[in-house]
Amino acid sequence: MISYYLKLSWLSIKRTPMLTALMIIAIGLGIAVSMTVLTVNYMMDKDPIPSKSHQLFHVQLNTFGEGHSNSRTTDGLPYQVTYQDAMNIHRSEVPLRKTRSLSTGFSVIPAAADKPPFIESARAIDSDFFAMFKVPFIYGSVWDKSVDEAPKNVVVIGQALNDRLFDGQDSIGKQINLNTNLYTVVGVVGEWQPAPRYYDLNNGNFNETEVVFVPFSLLPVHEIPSWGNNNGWRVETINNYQDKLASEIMWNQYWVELSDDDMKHQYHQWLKGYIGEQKKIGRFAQKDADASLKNVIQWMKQNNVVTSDNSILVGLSFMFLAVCMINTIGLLLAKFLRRAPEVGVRRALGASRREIFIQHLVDVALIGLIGGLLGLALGQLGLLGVKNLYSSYSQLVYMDTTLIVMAICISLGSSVLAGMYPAWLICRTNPSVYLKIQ
Amino acid sequence: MFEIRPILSALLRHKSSTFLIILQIAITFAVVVNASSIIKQRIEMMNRESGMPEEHLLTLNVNAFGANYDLENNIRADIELLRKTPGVVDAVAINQVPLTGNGDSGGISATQEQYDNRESIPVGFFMGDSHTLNTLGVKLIEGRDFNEQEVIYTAERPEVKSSIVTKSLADKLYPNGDALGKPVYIGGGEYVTIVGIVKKMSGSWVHSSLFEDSMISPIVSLDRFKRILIRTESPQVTAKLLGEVEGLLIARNSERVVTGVRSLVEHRARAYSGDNAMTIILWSVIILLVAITALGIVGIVSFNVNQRIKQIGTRRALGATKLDILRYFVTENILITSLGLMVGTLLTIGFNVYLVDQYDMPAFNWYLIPVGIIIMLLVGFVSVLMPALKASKVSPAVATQSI
Repeated sequence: MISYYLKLSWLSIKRTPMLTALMIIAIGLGIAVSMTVLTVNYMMDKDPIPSKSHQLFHVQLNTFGEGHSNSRTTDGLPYQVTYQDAMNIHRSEVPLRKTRSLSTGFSVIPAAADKPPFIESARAIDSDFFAMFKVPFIYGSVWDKSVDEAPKNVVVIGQALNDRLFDGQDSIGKQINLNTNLYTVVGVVGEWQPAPRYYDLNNGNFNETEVVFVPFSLLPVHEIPSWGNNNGWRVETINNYQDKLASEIMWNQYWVELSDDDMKHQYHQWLKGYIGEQKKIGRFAQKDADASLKNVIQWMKQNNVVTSDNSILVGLSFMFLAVCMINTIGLLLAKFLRRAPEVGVRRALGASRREIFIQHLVDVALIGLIGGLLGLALGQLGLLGVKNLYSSYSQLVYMDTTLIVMAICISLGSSVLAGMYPAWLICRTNPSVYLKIQ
Repeated sequence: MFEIRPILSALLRHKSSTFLIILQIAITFAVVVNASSIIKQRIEMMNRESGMPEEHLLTLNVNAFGANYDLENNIRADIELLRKTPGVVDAVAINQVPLTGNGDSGGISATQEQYDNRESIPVGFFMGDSHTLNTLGVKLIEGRDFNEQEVIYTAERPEVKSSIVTKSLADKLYPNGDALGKPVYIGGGEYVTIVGIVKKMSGSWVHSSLFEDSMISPIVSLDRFKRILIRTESPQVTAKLLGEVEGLLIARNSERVVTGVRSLVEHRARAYSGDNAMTIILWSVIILLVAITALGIVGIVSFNVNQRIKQIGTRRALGATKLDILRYFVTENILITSLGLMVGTLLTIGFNVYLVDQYDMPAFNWYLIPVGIIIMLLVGFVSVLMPALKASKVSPAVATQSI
């Protein structure tokens, strides 16, 4: 039966090539535009670490003085923490894993004198970082946990840097020179590029990951500078690195892994206790000063990973699709009504209303399918354009299977929806009217 | 004369297809007007005057790693070397460069009381030596430039006495226009005196409210990471230096890495790349949408013409001229388009209210509505023309032919 329907549909398409082409173009463009925009949006909004996004929490502490707040966020909390708080809360035994984190960078000085030094961005972190964010090792592993407390010049490097310095060989135990200090390589990490780079949304959401990882405990030893934001709220005299470490400037980040709600509750209580203690020495001056734990998804939302431009474009693209579909309904009405006499004959010969209805929906579905395929092809062109426009999005703009299936579903679904009314109208055709004229 | 009544009764016989075209035109109109409004606002932002000769400016970062690296003498020597380089007008070691998206900001106010009440004005803090204004190429309109004796080289918190502010900032601090010589409170009970006012200068963050509010202080902070800004005689020299300046600096002292060598023209393009992309995407959406609507009109009218061939023939046989037939379809189209645009205007306003409410977008200019209406009427007219002409060519003989 279905092949008979398809055959009739094909014949009807051949009979009205112009109208059909118009419909296919309209559906194709509608799908292309909305899928291009949706792809970028979907990729931005995608959970970057599905297995752990609800266990990893970014810690915010309200260290602001009375009357201060972060005007850029809805909750007014600071994005980052002070060095002293990062050090203090690191004492908590509650979290499953925990890491302090700082965006920084080094001059890498190759051993060969003829190779010029170069700059690499780096991250100062604790040993848990790699397990927390699922960073894969190809050689060696992370430094010993004791280094998190007792600093040692050890380093984990990225594959790109290992290729550059050691031709991709196993470099464990070898030394690299960072800012004229020698560090021993203990691990090499492989391909790891979360997009967005959710573990640090203050310093370029779609930047490349770092290729140098050093123990956070080295901060005071080498006076490791911040390459990220430094947010102060009160007037402080900062004359040297020690002053900065002791200050209220917020320039460190803190992440914890909490396995369940109980642990989260327990940790929040611990932080509240900490804030209470600190209040005694005059810090955390706000009356209701609290801590906030945001998981990866909440943290991405808070940091507007999906920009308002993206959201507006999604809205516009759906209006675009709506226009294309309304257009299609209009054209379908024209196409179907033209066939009314023929339908009259079929009805008179015994075709039921249901059969006529299904026949016309098959017509529309066929057109929707072709339109959807055209839309997918045009959508790839659109994405190519987006890639050219936003250089930083290059890893975001590809359609995965989910998106392709979604595109086909949207085009089939919306065209069948669009075809409902015309098909219903035509199946109500009264055969006698047309038979009389004939 | 315009056969409005027969057109209306014909339209009423095709209620659903008429309604669909009206709806389609309405949504198209709402999208087109709102998208144009966003485009217009982005283009205005991108075209803001920077006050600087961008094509003559390039910037770079020096990252010193040497263990016994003398910061002050190296900075002085670098700047001296650059200033002596042929084709260079001036150079300065600076803490932030306009349009780059990196730098220092904070709050200042005209009185200590305002500062304490946190009524401070957000500003970008620029720090450089007495060549800063000349290198930036900004115009001093009141007061004086810094002199060499004022400049403090330090790694600590400096005690500055004087500063230069932009006109925009001066007017915010002292709305009466008498900012010159007045104090500016920067926190901790300290204040500096405004010694000069520059006409216009871009800040570092193009999307920030403090974009045009900057304060320049005569400080060279001694950091291992140092930005340098160079002003050249011509875009050609800028292009040449972009390739050569790294070698020049490393040859003088190799205990550092030079990064981020870029012209300000490139920085501008990067700063506005999102806005530029948005305008291009919106343009594409507008063009495609209008094209689809136009094609839709062509399709529907062609169908109507085919449906009515016999009636058209009859009218022609009864004495209607070709022009009468053409006019019938054009009038019908103008009628439908106008109805669509009326609904569309309401939709446009509703959509805009939503954008303003949800995304802090500025409200659209009213004149976009009449402009949009004229454009849509023209689009409708052009699309109806082809099928209408076809209709006018129907021969009166059709009336006499039976099926």
